[in-house]
Amino acid sequence: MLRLESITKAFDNTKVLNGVSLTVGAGEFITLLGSSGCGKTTTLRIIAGLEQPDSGRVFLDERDITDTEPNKRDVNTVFQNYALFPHMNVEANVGYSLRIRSVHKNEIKQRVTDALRLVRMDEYAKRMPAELSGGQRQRVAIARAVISRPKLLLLDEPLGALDLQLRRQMQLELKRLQRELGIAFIYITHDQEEALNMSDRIAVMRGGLLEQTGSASEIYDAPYTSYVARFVGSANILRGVPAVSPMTPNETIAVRSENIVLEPYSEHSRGLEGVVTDKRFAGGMLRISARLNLSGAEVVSSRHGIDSPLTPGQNVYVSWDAASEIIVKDNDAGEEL
Amino acid sequence: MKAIKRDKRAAIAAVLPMYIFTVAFIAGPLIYMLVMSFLVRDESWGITNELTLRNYLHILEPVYLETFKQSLRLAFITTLFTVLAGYPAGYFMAKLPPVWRGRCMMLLIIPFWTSSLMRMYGWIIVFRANGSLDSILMALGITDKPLKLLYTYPAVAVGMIYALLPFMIYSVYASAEKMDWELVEAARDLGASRFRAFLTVSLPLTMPGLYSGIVLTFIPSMGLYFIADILGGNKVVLVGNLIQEQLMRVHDWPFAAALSVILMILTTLFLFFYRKLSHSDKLEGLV
Amino acid sequence: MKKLPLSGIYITFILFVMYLPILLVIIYSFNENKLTSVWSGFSLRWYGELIRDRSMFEALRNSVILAAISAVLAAVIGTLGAVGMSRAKLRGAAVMEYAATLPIMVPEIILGMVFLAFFSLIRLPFGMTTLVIAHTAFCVPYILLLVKARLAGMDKSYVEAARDLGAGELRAFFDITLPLIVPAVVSGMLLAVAMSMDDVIISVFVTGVNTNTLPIKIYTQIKTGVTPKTNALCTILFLITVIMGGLSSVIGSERKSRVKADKNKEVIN
Repeated sequence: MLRLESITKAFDNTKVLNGVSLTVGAGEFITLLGSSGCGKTTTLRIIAGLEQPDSGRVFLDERDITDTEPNKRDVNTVFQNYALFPHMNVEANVGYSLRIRSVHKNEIKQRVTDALRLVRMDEYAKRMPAELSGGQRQRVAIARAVISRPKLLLLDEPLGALDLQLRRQMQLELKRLQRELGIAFIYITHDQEEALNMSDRIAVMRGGLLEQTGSASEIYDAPYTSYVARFVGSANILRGVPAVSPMTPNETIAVRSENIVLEPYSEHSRGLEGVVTDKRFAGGMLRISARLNLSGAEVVSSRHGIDSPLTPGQNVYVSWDAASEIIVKDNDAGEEL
Repeated sequence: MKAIKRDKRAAIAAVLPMYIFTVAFIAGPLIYMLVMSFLVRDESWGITNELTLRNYLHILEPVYLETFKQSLRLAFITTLFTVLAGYPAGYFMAKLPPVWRGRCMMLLIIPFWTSSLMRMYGWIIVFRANGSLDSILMALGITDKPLKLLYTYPAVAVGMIYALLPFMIYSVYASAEKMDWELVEAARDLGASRFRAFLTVSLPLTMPGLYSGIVLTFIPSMGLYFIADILGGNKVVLVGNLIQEQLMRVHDWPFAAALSVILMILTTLFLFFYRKLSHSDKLEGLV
Repeated sequence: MKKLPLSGIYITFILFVMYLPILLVIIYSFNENKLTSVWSGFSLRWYGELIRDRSMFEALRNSVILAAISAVLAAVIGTLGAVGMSRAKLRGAAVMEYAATLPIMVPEIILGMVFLAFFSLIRLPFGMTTLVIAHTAFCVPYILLLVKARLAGMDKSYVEAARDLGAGELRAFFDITLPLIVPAVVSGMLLAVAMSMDDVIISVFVTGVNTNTLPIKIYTQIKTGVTPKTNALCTILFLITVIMGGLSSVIGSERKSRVKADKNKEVIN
């Protein structure tokens, strides 16, 4: 339904997008995942028409809309800061796009009520945006963007400003909304957990390029590159370690922390020698770090539940199941995420 | 690309009235003034189309140089006293609780908005012989005869300081209010005395306000000739009075233009140094 | 409140000095005596005489008309200019902005001189027209700067959201930008009115023989000899100022309280 063809964009000689191509199907929930500065927001703004690409084309339903003004595109956006018009109440904000299309008053009223009910904000119709909480504003912004039934909804880190609990709840609600409305969503986030929870498909962006596009399980289980493996599910990249599978020189192995086994030295245990460096609780489980004697690399294991006899300084064997080894292209030489 | 072009055309249409007005009624007249300052005055009235430097050489005569000196001196005195009186006022106001801050600002705005003539007239009542000040001083037994303060240099200075003080207070207040007071607390926490904390944290951070306050008092004080006129009689002659006299009484417009050009150069230089010093082209608290 | 005493006393003193001359003028406006320097009892006599003085009324009318026209003209020119400059990078915009704000940067006497010379050059008869041009010139900067600051502080995404929701460029301007900058325009206009109502220096140079404004009239009286009628006139002018100041601060505080509410909500969340 939406197709981007090798989009490039530079701001003041800084290249932000280096040829992004992407296809989005009708009714699909696709997430652009990447750290800040990877070009995901620019991609979104080009789709919305708020930014013009330097080269490349944008197609919506096979129609070239690259030069179409934002108001003539069947695409709406939920802005990062919601951008609710501060001088209009909730009702007026939500009904704005219908008023522009000169829809009849009664119909506007009806559809605004419906849209607000959809996001469970029907009691707040007369409030001003300043009188709403962050989560409420978020809902109003969504209602405003979906009321005119666009073909495609763009969401720019809509949950970024909310606290963790509210974020989890909104994730579920967004997913429900998307199913109910049947509109395609392009969702931007830097939070890999959010992406894995919600998306039909994830496109990992890095340095103005799409690094890998695929379903959540594809991205998680079969990352192409060491960057994707680290960014999604923070896998251990084990450079200079002998692998079971054959490997070319610019490839390396990645192993998820839940597959790393750390065992104290004993007759039965085997693996690479290492030393425990850290042991802490994170996300309801123990994360134990160890340094490999062979390469000096840090590995993290998270398969120890909530209790482990291992202590920092202890010598351990580090091992993993050959089947959990993922061969990835080594392309990020340990840069900060 | 089309969209960008359309955007630009709309923008040009919007700025057009401003551009036309500015060129026609500000740039044009200023350029005319510059040109006129090099022309010769006609015998009776108006100007002739003869080029000369005479008007500028004229300024170098001791009488006129003295006027410039006096203007600059008064501007310095005015600025100095507005800093001394206004900085603490603005700074203290910014430290008040928000409700009182608002009330103080309101109280300060009212005189600022009041006709400056009315306020100068009020000072006449204060200063004139047997006026309010004399009555109080004599009643207290400090003096035994009227001081005759009106139409003296101090009276003009007081009028100037009084007229320009609100600008200073605003500017300082504006930057002090924006200041993060936790920084002062941090300095105190790190062992700085109250005075030391002020010197090392508050003062540098309110410097922009102080700078724009200085600009906002120094420049007008060179041109507020009517204060010198009202409170100084004809005893205190400033560049402004000189220009006015040349225009309205002597009718030597080219000379008045030359005086204006010099005054303009002085103010521009002053603004230039302000920008150098403060690294900013905005005047804090101006509007 | 603990540390109030010293700074509090100082602020009170400064404010007292600020009001001292104003209060004296007001007090003496109720003086029965014809000599402004001798107090001889309370009277409303001078207000009565003021009302009967036709030339005063004419001056007041001129001042009001002048302030209104200049403020409106300046609002149109300044607002359009600020909006236009914020929309696209135009060549020479910086120079133009500098030139347009010069009238509040240079000493007023220069502006007066320049206008006097220029209007004589183009043979524009001195009177209301020249007054309006001169006053508009020094009113534009206030509106230009205030609206510019407002636009710079305004979140770009509001307009983008409107465009995204289907509004054309013009529609987005009228629906979003304009309502959001109105407070800045209004407070700029009030400031402009106050400045125009107060101006003597420039007005003296560009007015015609038959066009008196209130400040010119007061100035002439102070120069040639005051009567308590001058005090009464000043007092009325002062009242007008207070009312206008109140108005503008109400407009300003409404905006501020909205922002405050915004912040409170953020804190709650």
